[in-house]
Amino acid sequence: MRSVISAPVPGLDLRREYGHHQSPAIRAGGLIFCSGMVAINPETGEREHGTVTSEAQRIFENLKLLLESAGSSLERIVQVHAMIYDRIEYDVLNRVYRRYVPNAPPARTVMSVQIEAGFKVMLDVIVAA
Amino acid sequence: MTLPRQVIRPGNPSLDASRRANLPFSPAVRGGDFVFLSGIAAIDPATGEPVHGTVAAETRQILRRLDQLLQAAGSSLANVVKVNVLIYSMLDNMNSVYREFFPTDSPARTVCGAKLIGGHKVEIECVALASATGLHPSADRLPRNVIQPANPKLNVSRNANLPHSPGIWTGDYIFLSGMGPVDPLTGGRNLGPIAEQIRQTLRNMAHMLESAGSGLDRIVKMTVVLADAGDYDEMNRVWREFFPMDPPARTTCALQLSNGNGVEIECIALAGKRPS
Repeated sequence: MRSVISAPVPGLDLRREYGHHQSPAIRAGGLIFCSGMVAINPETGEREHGTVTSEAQRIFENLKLLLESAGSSLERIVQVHAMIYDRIEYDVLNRVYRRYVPNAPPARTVMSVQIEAGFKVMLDVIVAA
Repeated sequence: MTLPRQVIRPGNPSLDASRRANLPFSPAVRGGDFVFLSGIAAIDPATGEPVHGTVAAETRQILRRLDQLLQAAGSSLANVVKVNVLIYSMLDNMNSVYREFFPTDSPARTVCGAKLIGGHKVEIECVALASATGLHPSADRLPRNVIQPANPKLNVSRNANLPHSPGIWTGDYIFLSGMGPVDPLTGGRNLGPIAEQIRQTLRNMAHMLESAGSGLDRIVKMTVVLADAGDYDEMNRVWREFFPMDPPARTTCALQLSNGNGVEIECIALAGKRPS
């Protein structure tokens, strides 16, 4: 079974806000595959560019909303592709990251890539449903 | 019970660019509920030569072959759960073409800008349900366990106090964190020639998987990050030593790495036995 997980709040529907042709997440085979998450205001859909810390915080808060609406949680994340605009901020990312996944954190690969709309962070996650 | 791992080798040569170019990865690998596809770039179906075009043209060509490859694996576009798009510049986009292929209930997706191997503008990989009815009903809540290497020197995250686990085992799969050329005796980095760095990393990966009852031969999908795209051929040479037959699906890109690492590799593997 493959089912679409829709946005729990309007701002997290990036198709509606920005025409991204994607679902917020798909549930299948006991896993949840999320679309790449960036710092978006969950109520208004407004982009919230900031520091690595503020963007990562916003992303984790949004991810929490999304996963809990689907009956899962941050503790159930299994794999993260943590994308940052420059590896020089690796330690900065780790500091905020640690607060959200303090115990038995997910497997992770940090990648420095170009992220949409000039964001500094994007998290791409797979979660146990 | 050990889940079968099946390499998808379609008869149509345009769907098997790796065989034509003798590259050591499989177009797709099926195992458990999912089929994992290697990153696909635009090639000429008749000759196998790379095709360089606009983002729209490359995307259309890629998604057509992705569709055919999924069908060869017994799946379909409608079963795709996640798409990863690598694009040479985030100022360009492939949405207008992409939309034609996923008209409704579109998959989760991540798009990022990166330098691609071979001068392509777009490369696309995906994960799809192998069939519409999976092994696990949606109601299943699978256990989630951390995996640790038997050799503590290879426990990079613990030794450096980093906020990730070496690996996570859930359901039929093991997800490993990105790994580098760590010396198993000292825990330091072996920053020698790139071939040796890759060998060291793959040996460490074997150790990590074997510590959890799995192994290199159970890997379904790998993601490789090279610091230098020019090391692609050297990587393939080493790959053949480790994966002489039925290699995993694989996507490679060139990105900035830290600590002077020339390579970082992560993988998804089938667990050795299914947890009860």
